[in-house]
Amino acid sequence: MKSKITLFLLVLVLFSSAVPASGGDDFANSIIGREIIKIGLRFLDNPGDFFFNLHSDNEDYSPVPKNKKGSFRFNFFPTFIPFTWANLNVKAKVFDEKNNLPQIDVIGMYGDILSLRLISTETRPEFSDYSMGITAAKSINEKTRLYGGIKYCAVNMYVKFSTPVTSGEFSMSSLDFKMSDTFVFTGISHQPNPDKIVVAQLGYGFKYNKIVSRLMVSHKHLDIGVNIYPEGLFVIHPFIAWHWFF
Amino acid sequence: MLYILLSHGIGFSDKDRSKGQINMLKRILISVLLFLGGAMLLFAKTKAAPYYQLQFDVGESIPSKGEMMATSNLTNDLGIILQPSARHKFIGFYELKYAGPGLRKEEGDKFSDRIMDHVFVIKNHFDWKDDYTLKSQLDHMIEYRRTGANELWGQGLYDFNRTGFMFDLNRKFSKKLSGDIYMQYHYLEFPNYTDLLAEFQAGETSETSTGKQNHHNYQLGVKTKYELVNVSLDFTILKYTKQKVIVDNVQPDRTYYSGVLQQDTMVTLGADYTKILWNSIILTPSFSFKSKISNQNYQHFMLATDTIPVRYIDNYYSYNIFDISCPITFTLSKIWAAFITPEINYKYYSNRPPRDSENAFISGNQYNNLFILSCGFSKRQNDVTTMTVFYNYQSQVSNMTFERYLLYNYSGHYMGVSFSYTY
Repeated sequence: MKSKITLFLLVLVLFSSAVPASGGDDFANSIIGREIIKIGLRFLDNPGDFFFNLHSDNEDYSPVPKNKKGSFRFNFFPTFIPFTWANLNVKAKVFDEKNNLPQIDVIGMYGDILSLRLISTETRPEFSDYSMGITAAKSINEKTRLYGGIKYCAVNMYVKFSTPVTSGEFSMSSLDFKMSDTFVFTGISHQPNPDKIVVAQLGYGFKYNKIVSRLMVSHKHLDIGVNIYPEGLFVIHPFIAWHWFF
Repeated sequence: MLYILLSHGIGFSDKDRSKGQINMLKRILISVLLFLGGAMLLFAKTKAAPYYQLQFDVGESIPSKGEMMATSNLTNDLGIILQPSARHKFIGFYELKYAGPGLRKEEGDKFSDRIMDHVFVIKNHFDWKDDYTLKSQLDHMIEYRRTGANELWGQGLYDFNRTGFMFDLNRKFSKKLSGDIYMQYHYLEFPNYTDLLAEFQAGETSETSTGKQNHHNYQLGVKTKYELVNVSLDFTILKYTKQKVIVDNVQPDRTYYSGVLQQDTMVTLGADYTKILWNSIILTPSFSFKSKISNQNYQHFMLATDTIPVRYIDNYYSYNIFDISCPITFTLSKIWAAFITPEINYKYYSNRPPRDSENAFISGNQYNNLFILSCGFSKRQNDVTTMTVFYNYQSQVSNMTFERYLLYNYSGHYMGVSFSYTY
């Protein structure tokens, strides 16, 4: 069982190719080794922020296309792969854009890390992440829309390890955090052709003064883009997601 | 509904969060939504155009003293231009700016500082007559600062709120010549600032130091443009509301603060010229001179725990700055460009002796000589995005060698990649 936990933690710390090979002092004193230790210590300092950023990768609060009623979205990378973080983002249009009134969408997201269910320790691991919010969008011209909204996000995790997991300089006996925040966000969506939407978005969280910026190209069924977390453990998160508009 | 949600504390559960900060955050949220909502309602009846810009750079700073720093800077602008009539134009603007740790240009800023700005601007352009344009502006800015990664945003000593307005009257004298006269006023409030050293030294009977950095900022200026030459002259007065002037003898309240309030006056002269060579090289040499005169003086303590100063120096904060730069842009093709920008900044204090490494004053006046060289390549990927690879070299030399808290003699490199999206 410990090997599964170790594997899970290594996946966390090895994210973005930060590979802390089981080295001795030579590796720890090398430039790469020192950098990895620094990243590891930053992760241990605030693991909740790292998971909160991954949670944001699973979300999509851009407006539903004008000719659609809603969408389902599943984010593959960097959450389901490699963290087995299953997730579903659902959007539903409540009001169509009419005269002076903007389009209103209700959006929600829920996720679950499947690999945590494989861990059996004295205390059962707990995890939940979700968000819910409203987006208002108004057309500037036929192809371009400005949008903005508000959302509430929460990520909670509690995992107690029977024995501390160590790998080189790292040692961890539990993961225990509860993070939640209310964000406002604004953005612009540009649709150069029926199957392509280019999105730029900025979000600001009030509780932690957290900035999240997104650039995304949304194809017929595929979303490809980057999230930018200026103070995150990894500043840039490339992401790939599948969606279905209905 | 929004206010009710916020009043009930969604997202503000930390007990140690100050009420003032929560109010500040509410103002941001409400301002953003009012701005967006108002703009959306106006779209149907008014010509409207959005403006969106995202500027992001990520890189590595390598100073000669201290540690390497991975850093990122982000600027995100959302603006809307509304034109209700041919002569009137309104611009609403929100900017969120984040500056990560890295090499700094301003004296007093630490390399580890992080800065976050929220800026709200509403501008009006009114074509009064054929040759006159009146520009006016209301703006509000919130700046958060923190030095360490573990500090909380919103609790920085030098956090400030700035609120004010500006008027600018422009006249076109001919197709080549135009001129502006402008004035602006801002009030800067530092909600977290306390002079801990002064309070400690004066004991329990000292006046509260809260608000000592608060000040009114008055600015009056003229500028003129002749073809591609710009010249400007600017006068600025900073009137502090509580900060008193330090004197050489102990006052009745057992401090060295007199009854006179601090006042700083600044005069800035600037000029630049744009020259285009062979349709492919753009040069913009610029020059500026700034002179600051402050009535504030200085009492020097060797240690923070000392109660008796070892030296008094008047006119301690007055200085002159010369700045010369020459950005050069090479247009290599329709999508590729290269740039190089050398800049020299020379700061000379009127009556501030430098200190040696042991914090003792030596003869002469302090100077800081800063050299910055920026260069790189940029590629315009499509109509809205540009990618840039850049390298900066920065070097400062000073006769001030006491560097326990701030660096005065250093060099450093900063290299990275920049990305911009502009609609």
